[in-house]
Amino acid sequence: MSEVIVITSGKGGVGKTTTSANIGTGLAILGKRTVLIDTDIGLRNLDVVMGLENRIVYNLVDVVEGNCRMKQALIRDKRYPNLYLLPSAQTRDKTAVSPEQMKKLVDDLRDEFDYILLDCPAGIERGFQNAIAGADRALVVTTPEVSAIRDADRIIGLLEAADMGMIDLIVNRIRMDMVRRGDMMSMEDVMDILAVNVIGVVPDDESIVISTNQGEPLVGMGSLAGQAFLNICRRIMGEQVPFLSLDVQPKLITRLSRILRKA
Amino acid sequence: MVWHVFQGITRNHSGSLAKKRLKVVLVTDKVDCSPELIDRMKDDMIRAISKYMTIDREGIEIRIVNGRPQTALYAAFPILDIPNKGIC
Repeated sequence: MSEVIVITSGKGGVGKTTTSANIGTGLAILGKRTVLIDTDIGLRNLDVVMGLENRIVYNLVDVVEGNCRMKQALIRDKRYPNLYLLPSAQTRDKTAVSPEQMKKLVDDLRDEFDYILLDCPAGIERGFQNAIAGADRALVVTTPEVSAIRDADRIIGLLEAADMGMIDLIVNRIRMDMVRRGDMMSMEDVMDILAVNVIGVVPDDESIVISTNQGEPLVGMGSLAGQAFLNICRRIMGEQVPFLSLDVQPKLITRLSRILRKA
Repeated sequence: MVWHVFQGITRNHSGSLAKKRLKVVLVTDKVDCSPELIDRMKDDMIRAISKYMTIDREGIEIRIVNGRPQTALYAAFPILDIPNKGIC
């Protein structure tokens, strides 16, 4: 049975596309036939984060308008045999597609894939409405900042109003050193404020920047962020996975220098 | 550990400030209700409850809590005495 998941956030720049790329890749690594759809028409980015930008021939709007068949537009990721990308159009805008057309497009993919992931654009307008139209469940990405959390709350309200089956939260870019000294909201704080289930916490990790530069998702690799993403994939598949301990204790020397700086 | 306690005493944490500010802003985003309105409502509730019970006015706590699926109003009135227990 296939599941259609929209990855959304309201606010831009919190890591939706990176999250989509890593979760899509992770599900493929775990043996699930997965397709990633970039629904950000006019601001295409998932292709470049995935490192597949040179292989685009047709795009989502071409499929909707009947300029090509679905099979022609899907890019198979050669690194992961189960993974496909349907890129967005760069020279059109959000009005090129309607929510009904998106729903049909997604439903046409259900027979072929276990997971259909929709990378949603920022905002709450047409692009958002298009992306959520065919989805069974939603992953809301936020960071532990006031602006991102406020927007996440609004998005969760809109998803509930649209009768979204399941809504889970991903807290991205958490810095445990800052949480520990009380200068960043913790996962518990965010959960308390938004009152939704947290499906994963991803640490702020410089390896993410490096992996994006290289166009290679880091899910499943050695870094903490890579492990966190793979754990999220397992939880999406219904496994019970305990939360990672992100609490790497600072070295004694760092602590000492901090104390000295205070004094 | 001692260091954390020491830090806790010496400075305000911006994390908890962020949480407090967010709780207020999310409620006002949703219900669009001003602090003045809450105050007026509180006065009305005190008047109503005082007819039946003696309450501690200093200890009253009124909160609007952002929840799913509903946002709810919580009010706590510490009871000092119930003068006419038989009738109550």
